[in-house]
Amino acid sequence: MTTLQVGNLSFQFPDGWEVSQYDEWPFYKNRFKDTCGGNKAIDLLALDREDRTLWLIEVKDYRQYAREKEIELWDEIALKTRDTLAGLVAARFNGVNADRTQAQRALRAHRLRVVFHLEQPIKSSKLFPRAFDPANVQQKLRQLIRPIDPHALVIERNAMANVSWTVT
Amino acid sequence: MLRSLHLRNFTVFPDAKFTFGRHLNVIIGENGLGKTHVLKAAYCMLAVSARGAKDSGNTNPTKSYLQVAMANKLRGVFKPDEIGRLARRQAGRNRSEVACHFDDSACDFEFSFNTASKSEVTIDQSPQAWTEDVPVYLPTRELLTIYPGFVSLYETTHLEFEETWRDTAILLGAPLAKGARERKIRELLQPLEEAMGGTVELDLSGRFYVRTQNGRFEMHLVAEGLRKLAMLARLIANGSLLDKGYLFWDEPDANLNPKLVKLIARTILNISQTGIQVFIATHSLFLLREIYILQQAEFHTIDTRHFSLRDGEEGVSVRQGETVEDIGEIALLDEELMQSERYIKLP
Repeated sequence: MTTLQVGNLSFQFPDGWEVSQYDEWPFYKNRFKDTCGGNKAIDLLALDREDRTLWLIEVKDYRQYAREKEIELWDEIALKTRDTLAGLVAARFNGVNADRTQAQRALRAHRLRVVFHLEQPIKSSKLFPRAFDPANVQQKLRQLIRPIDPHALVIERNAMANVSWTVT
Repeated sequence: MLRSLHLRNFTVFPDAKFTFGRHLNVIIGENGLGKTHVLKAAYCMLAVSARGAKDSGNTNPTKSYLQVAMANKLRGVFKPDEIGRLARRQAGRNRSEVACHFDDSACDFEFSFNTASKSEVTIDQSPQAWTEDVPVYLPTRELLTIYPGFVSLYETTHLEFEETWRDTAILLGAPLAKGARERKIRELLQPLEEAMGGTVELDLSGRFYVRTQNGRFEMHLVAEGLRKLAMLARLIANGSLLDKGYLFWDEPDANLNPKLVKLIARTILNISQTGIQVFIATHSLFLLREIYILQQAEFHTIDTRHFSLRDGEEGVSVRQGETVEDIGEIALLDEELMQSERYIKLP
């Protein structure tokens, strides 16, 4: 089992998966981030080698921190997805060492899936029992990135939609 | 089956073509984008054609009859000051054209008029045959409470109500269906009657009641949402909504709580499965999702089309596809999401 920490959330992936924090890749941090006026990055790349599926996982945890960014949440996830795919392709050809080989393996996957892990604010309100209706966010995300993953998922610790990893 | 409707320079539409599904057609759009106009335009043509043989006294359609009947129907249903007011507003004279095509191309028919038309339309393509099935139009409100005497009043005085109300009121008064269709009717009615807690009755005095275990209740004493169910139940019970024909339903979700919307979604799919071609216009994300869930889980063979109306510089355009996912952005969803964003950003 491989564990990766994103803020206060701990992600446990099954054995045999190749997982990494994409925004920590030297290729992204040092070279790709500021290309073409700036590129965003999703949090985690997870390659299920057996199933040959590449998972792009973005994490937002609003349990403690308020949301302040001007850009709409769903637009942000869509842009991060697009930018990350561009970064992976660039790393596959122009990265060095581990970045290059990791990108090579990632891009040999047969399936591409996008997951948005959204932990909601702990506010109690009758009108807004949940700040975001996950079904709304999921539907919007699927609209925005349909050619990338028409079945993108919005999940949280208590509703993981049968993905193979766990989050605590 | 109505295969397509083509609106050119008609009300808000510069050029919109709707290619319909065999069973269910869902029109989505914000207020003022012409959802109801689409339903009414198709309804007018079907209503004129379905009553053609009886009203004209001629088994074959004639242009002279259609010119008058179509113009009268448009005036009755849309209630414009003059027919020309239904042409799309833009500088200069403008010609408005409406065409519908059927599975049976002998029924195809087209008419047009221009901005200056007062009370006449031109029949550009006359059908070779009348359609047989009577369309049903359900407006946003129920009609059972206004039913007593409404039709005779409508026929004898000038009322500002739309003609769809009169047409549907006539159907509500039809006798209950008997014979082979009764079993299917019972199946469709059962969930509606469970929700109403009783059955719908038409008294000899011409008033509608809901009969429950505790006696019968005047329709005025029944909740608004349940009256809509009662109206639907009555049309099913008398066979107006069974096997074949068309249902146009403007905002089925209006005045209903989510529990009843869930029931309405199932009933819509049930009705369309019996062979009625259904057209609905809605604002309700809840209804859209309920239909989606039911289709994925049970109603796999329902042929559905979704239509999204959107406003642009050139006027209102339509985007269509099999599922909600195929028609791009949905204003309803975006507004809910933006509200969540505003909420989450509260200090």
